[in-house]
Amino acid sequence: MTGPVQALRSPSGLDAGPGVADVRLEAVTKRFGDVVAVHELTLDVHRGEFFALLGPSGSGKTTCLRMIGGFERPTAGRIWLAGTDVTEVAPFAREVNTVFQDYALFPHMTVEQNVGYGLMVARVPKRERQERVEQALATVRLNAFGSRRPGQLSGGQRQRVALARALVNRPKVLLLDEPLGALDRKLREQMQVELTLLQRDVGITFVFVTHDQDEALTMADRIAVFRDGRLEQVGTPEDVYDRPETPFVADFIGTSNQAAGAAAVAVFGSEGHFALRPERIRVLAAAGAPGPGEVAAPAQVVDVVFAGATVRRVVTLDAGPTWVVTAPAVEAAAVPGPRRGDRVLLAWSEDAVRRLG
Amino acid sequence: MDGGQGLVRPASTWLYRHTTARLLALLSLPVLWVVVAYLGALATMLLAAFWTTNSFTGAVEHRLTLANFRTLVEQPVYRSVALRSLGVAALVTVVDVLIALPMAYYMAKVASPRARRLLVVAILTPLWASYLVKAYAWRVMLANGGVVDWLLAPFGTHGPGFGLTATIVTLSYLWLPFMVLPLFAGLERIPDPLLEASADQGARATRTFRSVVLPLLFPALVAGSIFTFSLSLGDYITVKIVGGTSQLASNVIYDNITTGGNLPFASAAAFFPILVMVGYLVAVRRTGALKEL
Repeated sequence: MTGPVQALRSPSGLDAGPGVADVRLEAVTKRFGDVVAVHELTLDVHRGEFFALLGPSGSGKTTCLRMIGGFERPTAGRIWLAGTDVTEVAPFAREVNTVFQDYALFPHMTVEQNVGYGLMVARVPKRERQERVEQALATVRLNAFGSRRPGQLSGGQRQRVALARALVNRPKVLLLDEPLGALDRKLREQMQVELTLLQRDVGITFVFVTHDQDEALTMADRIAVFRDGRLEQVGTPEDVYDRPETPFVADFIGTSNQAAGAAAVAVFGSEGHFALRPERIRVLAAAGAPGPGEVAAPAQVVDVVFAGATVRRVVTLDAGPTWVVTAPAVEAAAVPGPRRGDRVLLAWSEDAVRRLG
Repeated sequence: MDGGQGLVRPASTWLYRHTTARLLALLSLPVLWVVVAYLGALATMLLAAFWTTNSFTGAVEHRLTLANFRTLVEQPVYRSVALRSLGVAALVTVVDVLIALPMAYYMAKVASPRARRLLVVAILTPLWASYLVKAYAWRVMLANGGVVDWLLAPFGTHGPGFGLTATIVTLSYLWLPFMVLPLFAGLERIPDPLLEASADQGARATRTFRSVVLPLLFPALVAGSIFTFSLSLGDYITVKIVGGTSQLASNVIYDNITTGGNLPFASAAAFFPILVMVGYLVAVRRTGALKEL
């Protein structure tokens, strides 16, 4: 694996230092007619980072990626790549490459021709081109498929060809638009691991768009959470999961039990907006006693759902809100837990509660 | 199962169970038409090419001979008419490709969906007007002192007058929709991300056109050129209206039927466009570009 990977390593990746901005969006706005897709967005992606743009569909994340690639021009604001203002630079002149959502492989070319296209356009001599194409195909373990057409490959193989085609040009930044969206679940999980390893090996900055929060949490070094064309929060997976800054982030990343207003006063003893992760809550018998430093609230089980690795209980608190509580399934099997209709006592440690405002 | 429904709709049920009968009911009429009317007439015509006419009475003699073909090959006038017809058909095709490509590209890739619908209608509308009216309109425009002369006067030149150039211009106009529509459909089938991927790989517009658009558009180009080429090859009216004294291959056929009264010779002359089109299709097939269809 080391040989081909070395060859793909970006020259700029070698002198990578932490904190160097490879991609910078500066107060970028994009309007399509009356619709504001991205609103005065400012964002730094550091060199060598695996960066996720996460958000529901229509939140502006793909538009952002397309502006970095040069396929959309911002209505206002500047875009910088490795310290150069590229706002007015055409896509073919930018040192970025994109893995498109449906891979966009050229159907009339073989896998080798697809991967070698950028090198051919750049007039790289034929011998060097062949070597680099071979190395790129080796990196994605597709050496044996060079003479096939994209139509003769499976979805996962096409995805890897698209990856090789993008990496063979040694871009400064690799953009990935929902790269795993078209794959089935098993393959997606496998590719998540492969992509992470690949990124670490080639040392290029990866910016990828996803609406799948699991994907963002597993793969990214940092995540930017989008909502309606604005940034809700930027941070490490731990930051956005454990320390969400807004109710939207708390709800969009994982599941959150939230309480505000009167319910917050009743459950948490104070005005404000609170969030609590389902796995941080213990379910005790109605007569049980909470541990030291724990807060408790009486509730009734509305539903019990077995989800393989976990058991999910829907409970209605006496104070009003309906919450979800999850527990590992092993535990649930050993001790038959509370069933539908049972009265229970919920207990959680105070530091598990996140105050959102 | 087959009780209730079967009693209510016996014919439908019977057809449902008899697949062959269903196919026969669907296809017998069109097959009959194609075999008897279309292929029958074609076969009669091709057979007639090997007959001859009595030089005194003009009556058709049903005796097989290659005399008609010998005349066609040996007389220099027919050879030059054939080459002229090929040249006109080829030029009309080239002109149509050059005009239709940007139009189709704009329609398929640039225009808004609303503008696209309007443009398709605008392309199709002239097909509703009579062929003769359009040809005569060009005759008026190309006439001495006509619109074309007037437009070109400021540039110190004048229109081509009636002749082969006028024929090519008029035929290009007449068959343009048959080139625009296949190219439009072909371009619409090329996904936008492919063009973006090409730009992403560093390719400028010309390179993208050459390496991505053109190969994928080739089947559509072939389809369009078959229309413009064969329609031009078969035309004998336009050249009579705006062609001055020029003669094309189809005039030979037409004149031999009407004034010459020599149906066998006209049939033999009709072999020429058929052979050219078969040759063209075989050549295109050889390139392998149609395999991607």
